[in-house]
Amino acid sequence: MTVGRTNKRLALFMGVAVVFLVALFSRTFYIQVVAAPDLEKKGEGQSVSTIALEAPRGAIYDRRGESLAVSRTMASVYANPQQVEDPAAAAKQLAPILGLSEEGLFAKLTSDSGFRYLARKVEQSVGYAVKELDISGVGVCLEVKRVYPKGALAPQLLGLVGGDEDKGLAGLELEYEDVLAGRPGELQVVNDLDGNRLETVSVREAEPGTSITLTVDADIQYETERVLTEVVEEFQAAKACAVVLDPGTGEILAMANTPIFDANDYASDAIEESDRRNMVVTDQYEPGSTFKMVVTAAALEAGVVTPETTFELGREITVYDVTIHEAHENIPEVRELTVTEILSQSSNVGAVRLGQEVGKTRLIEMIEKFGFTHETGVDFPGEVDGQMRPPEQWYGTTIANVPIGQGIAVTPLQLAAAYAAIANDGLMVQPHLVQDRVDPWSRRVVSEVVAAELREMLTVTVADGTGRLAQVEGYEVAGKTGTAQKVKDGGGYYDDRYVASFVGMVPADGPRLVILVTVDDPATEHLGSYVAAPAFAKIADFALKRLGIPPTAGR
Amino acid sequence: MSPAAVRTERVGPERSPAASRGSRRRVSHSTTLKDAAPASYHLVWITTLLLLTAGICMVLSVSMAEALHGGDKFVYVRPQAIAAGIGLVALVGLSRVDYSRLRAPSVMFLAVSAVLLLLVHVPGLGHSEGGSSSWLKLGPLTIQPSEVAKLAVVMAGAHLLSVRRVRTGDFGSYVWPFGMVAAAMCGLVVLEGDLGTAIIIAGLLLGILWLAGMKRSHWLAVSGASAAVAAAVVFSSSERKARILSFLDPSADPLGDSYQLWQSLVALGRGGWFGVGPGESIQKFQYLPEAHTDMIFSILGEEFGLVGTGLVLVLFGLFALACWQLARRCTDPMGKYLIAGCGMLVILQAVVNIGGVIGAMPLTGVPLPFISYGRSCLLVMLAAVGLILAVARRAPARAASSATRCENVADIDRGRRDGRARGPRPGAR
Repeated sequence: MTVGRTNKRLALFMGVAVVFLVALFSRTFYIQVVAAPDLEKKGEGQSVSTIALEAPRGAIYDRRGESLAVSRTMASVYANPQQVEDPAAAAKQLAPILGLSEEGLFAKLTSDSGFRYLARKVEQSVGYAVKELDISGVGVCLEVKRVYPKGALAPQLLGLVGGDEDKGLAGLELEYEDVLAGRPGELQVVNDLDGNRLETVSVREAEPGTSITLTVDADIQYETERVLTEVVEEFQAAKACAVVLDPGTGEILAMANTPIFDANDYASDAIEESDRRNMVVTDQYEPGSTFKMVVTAAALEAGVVTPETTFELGREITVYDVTIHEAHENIPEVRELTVTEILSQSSNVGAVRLGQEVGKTRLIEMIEKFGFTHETGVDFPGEVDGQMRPPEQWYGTTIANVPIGQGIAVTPLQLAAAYAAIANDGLMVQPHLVQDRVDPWSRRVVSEVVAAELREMLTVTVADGTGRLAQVEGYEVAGKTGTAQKVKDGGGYYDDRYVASFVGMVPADGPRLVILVTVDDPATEHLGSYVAAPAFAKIADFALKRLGIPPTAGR
Repeated sequence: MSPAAVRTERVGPERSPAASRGSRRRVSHSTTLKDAAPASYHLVWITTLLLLTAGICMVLSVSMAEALHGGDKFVYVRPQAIAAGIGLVALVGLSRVDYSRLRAPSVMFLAVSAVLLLLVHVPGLGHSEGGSSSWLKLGPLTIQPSEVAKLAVVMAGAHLLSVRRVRTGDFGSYVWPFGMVAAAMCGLVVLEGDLGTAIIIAGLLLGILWLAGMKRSHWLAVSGASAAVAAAVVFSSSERKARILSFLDPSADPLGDSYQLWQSLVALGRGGWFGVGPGESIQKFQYLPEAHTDMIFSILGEEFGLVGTGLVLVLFGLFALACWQLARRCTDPMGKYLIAGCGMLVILQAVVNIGGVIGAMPLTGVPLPFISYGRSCLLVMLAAVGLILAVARRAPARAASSATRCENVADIDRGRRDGRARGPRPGAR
């Protein structure tokens, strides 16, 4: 073996080494430069994760700042079943703290998943207790829970927050979701395989939701709900609802529906779906006699009658093939009633006569002016508008139905708003539930004179007519009773099922409150004057004192 | 081999070109490799130190990641630094030794490492880690006999294949005792499950046989047989085959067989041109298994980018170049084989490691010389460098040679030796 030959073989080694090193460098260049963007992206996919930062939800306050809905930070206990070493012992330790059964916990702790909640949204003290046990595979995280501190108050009004992302799903929580929710933040972090945070890539802070203040007064709401519950019990009614509003501003001071349940249990299976409805806004009914105000207003506004105009009326009136009877008994064969008396004694025959005087066109015009054919635009989801036969489809007999509140459907809120327009000198203001959030419209419905005349006529109704039980001591009340036969599902009317209602305003000479009470299907008594008027009086009495409205001078 | 023979070989071919080139040619009988090629000599230890420094830094970086999980943040770097210190002392010590006196000890060394490799399989002494049972626990010491075996094969080969008997070119003289013993040791390492190290040992064995003048036909036969055995081992188990061949398409099974390679590529990709910065690696946080040992190159690539990986490759290239320059000018066969063998040990292992990490060849799990965590490996590598330096300091050098095509390179080194003005050119090329 010569040196030369050995060196040739050595040179071959070197050559091979150089070839290899160059090849390695080329491959490294390919990976780190050419393939890098793709690889980097895949690397980020596994190590960078985005964490949503929950935005604290805005609270809901009543008009005096009482908390009706707040968000509280609660503890949620979770497990990573694959990491739990001794599920039996863990279940035994956790059961008393979480107040859950050991078997149930054991099942969750041994389930075949990477993540299971053991208990959600429990008190933070429970969370601390669990943390102290230091069980491997069991952790505690914080979650925000929507709490309604007043409990059984205005559940249908406040609604529900729920779902995976805690969004408003019903009621005001839904209506004002955008305001209350805020904007969740986002945190991009780099984690290791175990989820330990290595670094924060970017942060976008959560924007907290804005709180809203209702026009509702919690105390008036409470009293309204209490009175309704009482009425439902007393007359064994199916349901009742009421709305209290300020006619000058359109502010709704109370909006109540029975039955009342704990707002925190809104989503509970024990609550019937129909009980979650805010009937004041979402349900139509045939208003009955309370609607006679509309035809009266139309007649006065058209100038065809004055409050003193006298009509000679029989016990019944026939229009084509329809005969309308008076609802009350002991009525003479023929009597003379002024327009005021037609209203105060709730004469069906009189109302139909007024309708005939006014005529279809002007009546429809007035119905539209009062807004019965449109939604009020109240800030509550699911509002429906009224239902009226289109003008071209009015039969000859329609004019005999509509003036007495049949063949037309309205929502309680529409009716209350209409009376509020009378209370507010003929100016209608949009009713609303939340302060400073809506730009309430207003529009003239009837002249100030007609409004005053109507108030005077309605005052007589309470002072000396069907609405006597609506009287409030120390205050002059104006209002109208209503007793409407319930419409059958297939059409036609039930003989013995009614909606009793009363809508009124107080004080009569400068109304500050308009209150509507409707009681659905009372069993023991069906007249609005007996069922709804006393409820009105109780609510009005409380609200007047609550708002510090002085009694009428001299009464 | 006698000193006389060495001298004859060295002086013989030099005479006539020296005379023909004029009077400044001077033949010195006392010229050593170090004097003849000082640049290459220095380059060997300088590249070693640079790579070692880079290694300590990278091991520190990965070590720090342990702190996040409640571990000691110096868990890897402390023992590694101690091993580096001991290794450097051994390096300097070995470089002072007269390598020609290592002939007899090298045979002993081979025998001892063979025994150690056997002991690994003795229950109670062997220690498994990471899928292979390559460790041996001796009291407080944990050593990896397969690492020691590599150096033993190089040293014993350099001795056994440079004795006069072998020079006849007789096939048997290559095969026995060296070839058989080394092959047997290689087999023991395969049994440990450490295929990577076995490939390195086989490569060293074949390399030294080739260098020591084995006939081409014989060498090809031996190589072919080795390749066949390796293939048989790989394909004997479908699981192993799948793992070995997973490098062909790392994205096919990124959560299974090719997980580690896939994560390694992600690390390199994250690094890009300039890296994410010192200590900023994400992949070292559990994503990339063995980040501190076999996969440290990709963490280096993540933190320092192509600049860092390229620099490491360049350093290994310079190291190879320097070894080659020293080896080709060494006139003593044993010294020549020692330098070449030790150089091969480092470069071969670096290529197998980096090739595996970047997905250019199967991932076999060998540490990157000077850089990966692993005390046995580090000590062995530094000892190998010590041996290279030892040879360079003692072995006689051939000055200029007409027998090679690299005369200009020889001229540079010669010029220095003659005391002429030094240019800015690097000595090795």
